[in-house]
Amino acid sequence: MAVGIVIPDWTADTVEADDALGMFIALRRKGVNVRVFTPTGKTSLPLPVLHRDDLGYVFSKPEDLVIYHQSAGDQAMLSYLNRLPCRLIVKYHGTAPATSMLPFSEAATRAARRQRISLGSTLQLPADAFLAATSVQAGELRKFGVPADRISILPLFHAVDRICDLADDLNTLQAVEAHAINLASLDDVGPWAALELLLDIVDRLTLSGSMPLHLHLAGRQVPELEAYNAILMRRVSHLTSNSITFHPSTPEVRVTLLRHCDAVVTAQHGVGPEGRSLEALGFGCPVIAASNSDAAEICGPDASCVTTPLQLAGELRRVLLDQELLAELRKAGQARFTTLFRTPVLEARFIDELIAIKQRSLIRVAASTLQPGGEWFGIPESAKLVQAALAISPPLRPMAFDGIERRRSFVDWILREGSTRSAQISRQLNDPRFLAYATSMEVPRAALQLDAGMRLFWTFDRFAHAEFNLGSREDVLRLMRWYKLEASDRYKVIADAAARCNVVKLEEAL
Amino acid sequence: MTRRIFWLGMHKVLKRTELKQLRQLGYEVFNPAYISPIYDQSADRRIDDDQPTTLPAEIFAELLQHDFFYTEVPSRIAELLNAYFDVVIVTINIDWLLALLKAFTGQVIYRIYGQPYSLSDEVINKGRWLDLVGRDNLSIVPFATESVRNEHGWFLDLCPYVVPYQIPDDTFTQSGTWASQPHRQLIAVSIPNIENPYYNTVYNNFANTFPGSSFQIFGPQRAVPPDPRIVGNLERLEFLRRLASASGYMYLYTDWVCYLPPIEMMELGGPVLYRAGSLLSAFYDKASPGQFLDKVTADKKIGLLIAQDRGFINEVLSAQESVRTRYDRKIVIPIFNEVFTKLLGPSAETGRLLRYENAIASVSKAPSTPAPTRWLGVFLHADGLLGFSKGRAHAFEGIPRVVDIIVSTLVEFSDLGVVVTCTGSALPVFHDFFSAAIKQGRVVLRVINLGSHPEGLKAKLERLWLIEDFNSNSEILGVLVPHYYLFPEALLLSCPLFLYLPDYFPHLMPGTVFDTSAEKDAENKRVGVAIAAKCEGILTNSHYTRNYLPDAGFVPAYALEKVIVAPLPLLGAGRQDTLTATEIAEMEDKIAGRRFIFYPTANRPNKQIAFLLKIFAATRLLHPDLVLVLTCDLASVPGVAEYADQVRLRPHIVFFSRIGDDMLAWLYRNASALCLTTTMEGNFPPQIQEALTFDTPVVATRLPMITEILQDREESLLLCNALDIDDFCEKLLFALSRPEEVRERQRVMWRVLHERSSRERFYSQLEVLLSRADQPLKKVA
Repeated sequence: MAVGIVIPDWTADTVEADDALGMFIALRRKGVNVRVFTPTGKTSLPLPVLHRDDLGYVFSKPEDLVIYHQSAGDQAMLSYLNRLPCRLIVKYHGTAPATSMLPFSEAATRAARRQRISLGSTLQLPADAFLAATSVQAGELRKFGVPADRISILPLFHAVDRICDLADDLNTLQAVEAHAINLASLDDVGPWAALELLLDIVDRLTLSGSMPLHLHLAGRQVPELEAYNAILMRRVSHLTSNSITFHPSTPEVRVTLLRHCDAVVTAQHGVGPEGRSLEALGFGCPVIAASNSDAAEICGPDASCVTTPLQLAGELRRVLLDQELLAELRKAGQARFTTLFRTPVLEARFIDELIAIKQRSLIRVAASTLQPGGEWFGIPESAKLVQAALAISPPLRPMAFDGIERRRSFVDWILREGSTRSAQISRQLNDPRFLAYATSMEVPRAALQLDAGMRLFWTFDRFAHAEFNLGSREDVLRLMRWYKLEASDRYKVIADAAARCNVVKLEEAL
Repeated sequence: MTRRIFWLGMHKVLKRTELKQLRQLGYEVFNPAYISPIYDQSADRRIDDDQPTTLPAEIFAELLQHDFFYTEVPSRIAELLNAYFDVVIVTINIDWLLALLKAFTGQVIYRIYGQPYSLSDEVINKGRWLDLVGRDNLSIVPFATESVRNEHGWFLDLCPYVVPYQIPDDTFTQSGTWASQPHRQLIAVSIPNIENPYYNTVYNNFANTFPGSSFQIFGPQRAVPPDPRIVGNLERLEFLRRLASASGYMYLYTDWVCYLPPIEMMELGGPVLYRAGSLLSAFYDKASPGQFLDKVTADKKIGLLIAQDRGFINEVLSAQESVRTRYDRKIVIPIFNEVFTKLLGPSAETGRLLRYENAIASVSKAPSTPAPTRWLGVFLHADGLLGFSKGRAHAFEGIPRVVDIIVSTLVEFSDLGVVVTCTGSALPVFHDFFSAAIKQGRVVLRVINLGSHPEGLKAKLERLWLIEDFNSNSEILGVLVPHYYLFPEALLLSCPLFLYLPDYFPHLMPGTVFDTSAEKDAENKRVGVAIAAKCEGILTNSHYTRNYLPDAGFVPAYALEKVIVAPLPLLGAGRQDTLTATEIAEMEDKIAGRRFIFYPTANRPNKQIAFLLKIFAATRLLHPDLVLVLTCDLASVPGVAEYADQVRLRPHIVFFSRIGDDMLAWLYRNASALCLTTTMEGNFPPQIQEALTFDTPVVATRLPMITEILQDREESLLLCNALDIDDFCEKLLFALSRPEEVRERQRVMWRVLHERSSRERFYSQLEVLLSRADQPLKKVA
C-alpha cells in the first residue's frame, strides 16, 4: 500500500504543514511508502514533493490511500481527488466564516465565500473518513452533514520537537524582559481572532494601573487581509498605554515568547488555534482560552483557564497575578502534553486510526440490508431500479450510499454490470421513460450534441464527471474521445436504444 | 573503378551509421567538416582529417576547410566537386541540397529522414522547382513512405526507393535491458536544446500540460531552465541506462518527424507512448495501446506505466515491435546496401522528371502509347485556381474542376492531346493536378509568365506570344476558353475557338453588380459576347442555360445550334477518397460530433446565405446541437455577417475554406442535410448531384433546372418554395428526424442524374462540340 499526503502549501511554518509533516514522519517510521503532493510540486522543506498532477500516476490501486489536508477553495484539487480510484481520508482544518471578513476586505470575503462553498464539495468527496483535531471541529463536520461514524478525532501533529532547541530571538527576548507581565497571542491575525477585543482589554488593564501587562502579537499575517491589518495597526497607534508589541511570525519568535511569557491568550471561538495551543502546552506555557474553542479542548480544564469574552479581563487579572496558579497550570499542561500529545503518542494514535479506518473500509454487508436513501439523480422509478440492483449486487460497504459520489458510482455499476446480470434492470433501462430521461439529461450548452449514452456516462462515470466540465467545445470533444475509448459497451447499447426509441416515438406521433 | 562520393552530412547518428556503411560498401566517401557557426545539438563538430581518401592532399585540405552548410558553393569549390566527385549525397537539409544542385552537375542523391515542414513547399517557395524536376540524375531517398506523405506528387516521383535508417550501434549493446531493470516511477521525454525556439515551444507546451514531477527530460542543453525534471547532457551509455530505468517513454512531437529516442527505448525493450497524429503513430498498424490523444488519455497510460501494469505494458510492447524493427540494423543494413549499390552503380543514371522547353512542360520519358497528333488547347492561365493542400493538388474553383472533367474525359475516350495553359507560378500545382495525364503524354502545360503585374507590358507580350504559339501550331485542333471574360486574348486566336459558358448571372439577376462595378460587368460581357461570336461552339450544362443565352445576347436565336448541352458528370471523381486518418480526425475535431447542415458555395446574392442563416436559427430552436457548415465568407454580401452577429449564430457556424474534393466528400457524407437556398442558378446545381452521390439528405429551393429534370418525380426531393422559411424549416426538420426515409426517396433522383450525367454522355457531347472545328459554322457578325 502506498500513502499520499496532499497539502496545499507545504512550508515549515503553518499548522497544516506541521500536521502533514508529522504524518509523513510517522508513516515513514513504519516503513510505509509515503509521498507528499502539493499544487505546485514545490516545498521549502528538504523533502521530495510531487506535483498534484502526479497523483493520478502514482495512486492507481484501490488499496492505496490518500490523505487530503483540506484546503478551502481549491476546486481543482477536488477534481483530482474525485478521479482517484483509491481510498481517501480528508483531514479537516476548518474555514473562516465569510461574514467575519466583510468589513475588511471584499476579496477576502469573496475568497471565504468560495471556501465555504468548496467545503461543501470537499465534504461530498467519497472519503473513508474525516479526521478532526478536536470535538469542536467534529461538531462542525457533523453540522455540514458528515455522518458521525465517519469522523475521527485525532490531534494535530505539531512542531514542538523541531523547534524546542531553537535559540531565543534576542529582539523578542528584549521586548519581553522590558515588561513585568507578558502575554502572547500567536493566533493568525484576522477578524476571527478577536484581537480588537484583546487590545482593548490589555489597554484598559494597563491604564487602570491594576497590572503592568504587555501583549506580544506574533501571529501570521494573512496577505489578503491587508485592510484588516491596517485597521489593527491604527487601533494600536491610538492606544495610550503603549502595551502592545508586534513581532514577526517566525518559529524563533514563537519559541522565545513561549519560553518567557507568563501565558498565551486566545480569544478565538470555535475552530482555529489548536496548533499553537499545543505548542504552548509543549513549552509549559499556560493558556487562557475562549470557552467552546479548539484551544480550550486541547489544553483541557487543568492546563488552561477558560473564559468568555465578557470575563476575559477579569480572568487575565486573576490568572496572571497568581503565581501559584500559573505554576499549577504550567505543571498540568506539561503533564497533559506528555500524556496526550507527545509525538510518539500522536504517531501511535495516528497509525492506530489508519488501521481502524482500513479495517472499517473492509467491512461488507449484504447489499439487500442497506437502505438506499437520498436523491438518485431524478432517475425514473429509481427506488425500483436500485432495489433490483441491490438484489444482485455483491456485498457492499455500509456507507455505500453516503454522499452523491457514492450513489453516482453505484448507478454507474448498475449501468455497466447490473444491466448484464438482471433482466429486470435491463428491462427498466430499456423502458421508454428511462431512455427519455437519458436523452434529455441536463448537460452544459456546449455539450448538447451528446447522445443518451454519453450523457449517462458523463453523469455517472465518476472519473468522467470529475475530469470534464463540458464548458467548451474542446472539453466536449475530449469527453467524446474518452467515451469512445473508455465507456463500457452498455452505455453505447443504451444510446442505441434511446435513438431507436426516439424514432419510434416520432413515428407514432406522425 | 570505385565512384567517389561527396557526403554532405553532419548528424552524429548518420556519421556513425550511414557514412560508415557507405565506406564499408567500398566507396570512397568524403565528408566535409561541420564548421558552421549555426548551433545544432545533433551535429558532430569533430573534423575528420583522418578519413580515407585518394584525393590530392591539397584538395582534401581545401575541401575540409570549406563550410558547406547553409552557404552557397563558390565557383572554385564547385569546380573541385565536379572534377573530383562522381556523386553527391546530401542529407537532411533542403538548403544544402539546393546549394549543391547549383554547383554540381553530376548525380545527386538527397537522403531525408523526415522534416517538420513540407520540403516540396520549400522548393517551390524558393523558386527552385524546375531545378529538381528538370534535372537529370537526381533521386530522393526518404527513410519511410509515411515520412513523405505530405510531399507533392512531383516530389514523390523523384523518390525511387525508400530506405529505413538505423538507430546508433551502441543502443544495440543495451537491447532488452529495460525488462531486467528496477524502474523508477518516472517517464522519460526528450526535449533537447530548449534555447532553440522550436524546442522552446515544445518545452513550454509540455510544461503547461504536464506539470507533474513524474517526468525526466532528456536531451543536450545549452542553457537549462530552472526545472528539476531536466536531466541535461549525458554520456550515451548513461543516457541509455537512464532510459532503461524509466517506467516508460512518452513521445511528445506531432511534427512530421520521428526522433530516435523513442525507438531507442523500444530497442531497450521499454514501452513507448506517443501522440496520435505524429509520424511515429503512422508507423503503427492502427491505434495501438501506446497512443494517446490528449492529456486525459496520456495521464491514464502514464499511470499504468508507473504502476507497472504488466497487461498494459505487454500490449504496448507487442504493438511497437513492428516499429522497432524498422530501425533495427539487421533489417536496415541489407536494404541500405542493396539500394545504395543500385543508386551508386554505373547504370544508375536516371532521367529528368519533366522536360521544359520553350515554355512547354511535358513528360520527359516517352510514354508507351503514341503521342497525340491533334491537340486541344485549354486556357487556364489565371492564378488562384489550383492549390496544394496537405501535399495534394486541389481545384478550389469551379472552372478548373470542369476543366479537370473535360481533360479526364478526353483522355479516357479520345486520342486527343490537351495543352493546358498555366501561369509560371502555378506550374508545380498544375503539374501535380494533371500529373496522370501528363505522364501518359496526353497533357502538356504551356507556361505563361505573367509575373507580378498581369496587366503590365511584359504580361501582355507573354499573352501575345502564347497566341502566336497556338496560331502557328498546325496540330492544334482548337482552343477551349473555359470562362467568358478571363481570357480576352483568345479573340486573337486564328484557330477554332470553343467557349464554356455554364451560366450568365447578370442576365438572370439584372441590377445586381457581380464584378467591381456595373461598368466592369458590361466590359466583361462585351468580351464574352465577342468570344461567343467568334467561337465555333459553346458548351453549357443545361437546356435552361442554352435557352436564355440568346436573350442574354451571347448567341443569336438562329445560331442556337452552336450551343451544346453536356450535363456535367460528378466533379472531382477520383479525388474524393484521399483523406488520411489524421485529416479525418482533424475534420472530426472541428465538427466535434455535432449534427450539421451544409451548403458549400461562394457567398453571392443569389445563394441567399442570409436566408439560410434564418432557417438555421429557427431550426436550432428545436435542435440546439445543430451547427451550420459553410465554405464561404459571410462578409462577401452586405448584411449577412451582420445578421449572423445579430442573432448570435457565429459560434454555431463552422467554416471550411479552400477545401478540396476529398474534404468536400467527407462533409457531404457526414452532413445531416444539404440546405440549398439559392434562388437563381444558371445551371443544375452540382451540390445536389454531389449530395445525392454521397447520400446526403437534400432540402432545396424548387428551381426550374431541378424540376426540369425531375419531371413527375418531384416528390423524390424535399423541394421548397423560394425564400419560404416555413416551408424550408418544415422540410429540414423532416430531413433531420427521418434521414433514412429522405435518403431512400432521393435515390430515385440519383439514378436519373447518374444516367443523365454519365461520362460517356458528356464525351459524346464534347465530341459534337469539337467536331465543329472541322465543320465551322458560318461566322456571325
